This record gives sequence, C-alpha cells and structure tokens, in this order.
Amino acid sequence: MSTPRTMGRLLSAAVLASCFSLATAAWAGSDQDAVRNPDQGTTSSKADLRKRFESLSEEQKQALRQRLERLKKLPAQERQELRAQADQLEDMSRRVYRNLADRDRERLDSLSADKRQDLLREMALAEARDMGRRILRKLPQEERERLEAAEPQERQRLLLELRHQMDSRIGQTIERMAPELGFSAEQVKKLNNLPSDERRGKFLHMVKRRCTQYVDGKGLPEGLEAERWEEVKQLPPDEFYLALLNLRRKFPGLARAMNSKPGPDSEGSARRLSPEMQRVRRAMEAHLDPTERLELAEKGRVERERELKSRGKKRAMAALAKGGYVMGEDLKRLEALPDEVFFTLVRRFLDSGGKQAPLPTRSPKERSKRSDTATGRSGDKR
Amino acid sequence: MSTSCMEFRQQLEAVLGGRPDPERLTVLGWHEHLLACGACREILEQEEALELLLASLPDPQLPPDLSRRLVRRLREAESEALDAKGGALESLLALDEVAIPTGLADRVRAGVAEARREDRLDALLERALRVEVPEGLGQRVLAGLEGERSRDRLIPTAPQGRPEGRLQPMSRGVLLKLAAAILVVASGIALWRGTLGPGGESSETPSDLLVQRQGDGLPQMASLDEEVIENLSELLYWESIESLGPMERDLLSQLDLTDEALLDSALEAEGS
Repeated sequence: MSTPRTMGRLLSAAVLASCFSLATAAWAGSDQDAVRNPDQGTTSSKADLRKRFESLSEEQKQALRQRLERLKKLPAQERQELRAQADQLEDMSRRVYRNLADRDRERLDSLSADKRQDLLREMALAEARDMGRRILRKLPQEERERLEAAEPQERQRLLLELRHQMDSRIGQTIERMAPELGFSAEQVKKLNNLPSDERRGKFLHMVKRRCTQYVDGKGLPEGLEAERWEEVKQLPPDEFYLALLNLRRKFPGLARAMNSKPGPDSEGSARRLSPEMQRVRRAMEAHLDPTERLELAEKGRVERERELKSRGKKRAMAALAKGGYVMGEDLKRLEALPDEVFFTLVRRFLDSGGKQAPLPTRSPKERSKRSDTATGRSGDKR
Repeated sequence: MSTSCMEFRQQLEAVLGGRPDPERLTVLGWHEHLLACGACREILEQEEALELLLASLPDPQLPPDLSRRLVRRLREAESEALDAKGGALESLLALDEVAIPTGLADRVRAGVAEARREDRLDALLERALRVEVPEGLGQRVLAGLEGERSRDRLIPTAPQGRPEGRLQPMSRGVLLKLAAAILVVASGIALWRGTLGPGGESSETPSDLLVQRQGDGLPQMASLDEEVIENLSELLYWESIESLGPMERDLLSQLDLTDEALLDSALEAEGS
C-alpha cells in the first residue's frame, strides 16, 4: 500500500515548500533592510530618494525642479563634466565611508538615510577640497603658477596635459619601485603594457604594498593601534591611500612610509614643520575629522559648517599663541578677521613653513589709500 | 623707488583697477620682483587681505518668503480693485486659479480604500505569522508518521507513552490540513512580498498611488518630480560641487588620489 508513503512525501514536500517560500520571503525583506553590505552607507535606493524628496518642503522641491531644468539646459560637455565631478565625489564618499572608524560608522549608520547621505557628501567634499590643495602644493612652482594664472579654458587644458604627464610618469615610477618590491623585469614589462586606467590601479597597489612593507619592517608609530592598522591594511588601494593620508595627520611618522626620502618641496618642508606648527595644522583640520562632524549631525549643514570652522579657528588661535607666532593686539586682529580670510592667511603661513607671517604687517584698513601704491615706499622692512 | 618697483606697482594698479579678484592677486604674488622687494611684498599683502575681506562679505539675499508675500499682496490689491467696482463674487471667481481635475474625489477615495485594504492585509499577515507552534509538535508528527507506517505494515505496535496534558497525536487528516495551511500562508507571504512588498516592482506607497492617479490634472508636475527623484543624487552632488571654487572644480574633474601618489613618488625621486 502506497498511501501512507505518498502522504509522508506530500507532507515533506509541503514542509520543504513552506520553508523555501518563507526563506525567499525573508530574503526579499532583508534585501530592503538598511544593513546589507559594507557600502550601504554610500548608496541610496530609489525608495530612499523618493522618501527624501517627499520629505522636503514645497520650497525645496521647487528649488530642485528648477535645478533639474538648469541641468537639462546645460551644454552636453558641461553636463559631462558635472557628471565626472559628481562621480569623483561619489567615489570619495565611498572611500570616506570605508575609512570611518567602527564607532563613527555605527553612528553614521544609525542616522536616517538622507542625513547619512548629507554628512557623507560633506565629508567627501571636504576631502576633495583638501586633495586639490595638497596636489597644488606638491606641483613644481612654475606649473602651479601657470595653473593659477590661466583663464578657465586654458586651465582645463593644462590640467588635462598634467594628467597625461602623470600617466607617462607611471612607467618610470613602477620601474623605480620594482626592485624594492621584488618585481622581476618581466613583471614590470607586463605592468607597463597595461591600459592606462589599469596601470593606475596597479600603481596604487604597489604604493600600498610598499607602505605596508615599510611599516611591517619598521614597526608601528607610537600610538597607532595594531588592530586599526590591520583594518587599514584590508582596504583596497585607493581607500588605503586615503586612510594613510588621514593617519599621517595624527602620526606624522607615517609620512616616511609614503615618501621615505622627502625632497626640498613645500610638502617636504611642511612635513618638517616644528611641533608647534604641526599643532596649528592639525587645529585647522577639524572639518576633515569625521568624529567632529558626526558630533554635529543633528544640526543643519550651514550651522554645522559654521561650528566646525569656529572650532578650527579657536584651536588654531590657541596653537598660534602657544607657538608664539602671533601675540597681543595681533591676536585680536587675527581673530576679528572673517573665517575665510583667517584660514587663507594661516594656511599661507603654514605652506611657507612659517616664513610668511600669519597676519599682514599692517591693518588692511590702513592701506585704503591706494595712491600710496603709486607714490611708493622703498626699503625692505623684513 | 626703482624702475622695477614702478613697473610692479603699475601692474598691481592695473589688476586692482579691474574687477576685484583675489585669484588674480595671487598670480601677481608670484612676480619675480617680489623676491627682492619687501616693500612691494607688503603692499601686495595688504591688498590681498583687503580683497579677501571684501570677497568674504556675504551676498545680499532677499528674504525667502518675499516672492510669496508679494504675490499675496498683489492678489489682495487686485481683489480690492475688483471689489471697488462692485463685483465681489466675480473677483473671487477670477482669483480661483486652481483647476480641480474631474473625478479627483473618486480617485482619492479609491486610493484611501486601497490603503485601508493594505492595512488590513498587513494586520492579517502579522497575525498569521504570530501563530506559535505547540511544544513537541515535531515529535508528535514523527510519532504519528511511525504509527501510520506500522499500520501499513500490519504489524501491531505497542502504545506509545505520552506525557500527561499533551495533545493527542494528530491524524492524517489533521496533518494534511496543517500542510495545506502552511502552503497557503507561505504562498500568501511570498505573493505579498513579491507584489506588494517594498522589494517588489510595484513598491509604491498608498500616497504614491494617490499622487500618480490624481496626476491626470497635473501630469507635467508629476513627471518632473519623477525626473527629479531619478536625478536626485546628481542634483544634490551638484549643489555640493557649486560650493567649490573654479580651480577646485577643475582639479576635481581632472586629477585624483593616484595623481597625488604619483606626485609624492616624483618628489621622492627628485629628493633622492
């Protein structure tokens, strides 16, 4: 008699089918959950975007509609450039997110999707801005001057040229680094025959390998936890490089891992800043610190930026006073300057390695008589 | 004052004579003459500080609510003028610019009913998922199956001892019904997840449905909003990008961290 056996099979099939359906349903549900992959903080689903849009005030929606109309009217090339810039910022957002310390990442993930995206965009923007400044500082003086003097179209052409120059330098750089990393001539040849984008990627791989070799050989800088370093080592090369740049702010000794023989450039001299000047530089970087920004997550963007600037300014003032770079009345004058002017002047002071005073020797108000410039004053007062 | 000082200051005057632009002053800051002349350096620094001060002043901005208030005021003025002509009702009708699409009320009601139906379905499913499995059900099912097998083989089996207060082993009929019920519930959940759940293709919320349906009267606005949502990421990034200076924007589109790493290596090579 086969009935009971059939019944048993039927029952098993029913149980299996229900398990499968429940598992499928559960999986479909979990797919929509916020926590699904390490990059979840950087991505927005269409549902997130819709929710975000619907939560805006009518005025904000209208501003976005107008912005879209403007976007659609942009010439194709400008739109393409804008897309390239947005892609770069998106890439930077991913790097920033992956570089967050566990505690910061947890804090960011606990925020609503729109708040999280806003904060990440702000962090990415701050990093991108800083990267631009650093690249300019590292350029040879004549190239920097040409760029700064160029009209917009000419500047774009020069930058494109610079990128091509960089591409052509990769080959030589790979050849120079190869012996240190134990690469054979055959491997170097293979690397140099790769298409440009791939070769760029491989180059960053080599930079990462050399840095980890250096740190593993020389030991960790004091204060850097082994666990944190292990986490950083797991990052892909571009994220690793950003992590290294950030760690270098706290652990200047790591600069050697990136560039073991600093040249006579401004960046090299910046690395040789006195401890007081290093303190000033660190004080100026509150906007790059994710923890600081996350502390202000509940505030609006404008208020948050203002607060970060104010914190940076206060700390920089204290560091300048402690280092004896500015004193007495000059401190008050410096403090009274608008934030942008203050940061520009202090940055210039740092970039010159302390040669250029943080404050112009005479108050701007006193120089209002422009006729002075024609009549002239002679003699170097320095 | 030397000739080179004169020349430099003439250039400075020329730059200052045009539109104030801190960038152009920065360019002048690299002038060769400045390496040797402290007085001209000082003058330039002072000019730069002033230009920076000027550049940092906020742009004058209109109050955010101004346009709305202005329109309201204009309407009031228009209404008063019409009232003065004795046509109060006409003036009210003339001001009624909002065209209500035909059948909007029905569509709203349908949307609300649908939302309610979904709420009821949610509640039902929630209850269905909360059914608890009686303790020892698995063992009893196995025992029942064993009993079936024994009877099938026509071999009498000894009665199984059961703890007191527990349920009787389920009969074949009950088991069949249970299996069928599980299948129905599971298929229901899968169907719900697939078609109504957030992961499905039709993931609209009831309010989305309402917006789309009442869009007959406002099709342009609805489709524009869809486009905004489609491009929201890019639009928001654009907002961030616009806060960058021209040089920063160009650097962002042309160079990246690889270029920075290359520059580091090049500097290292020069240093060695």
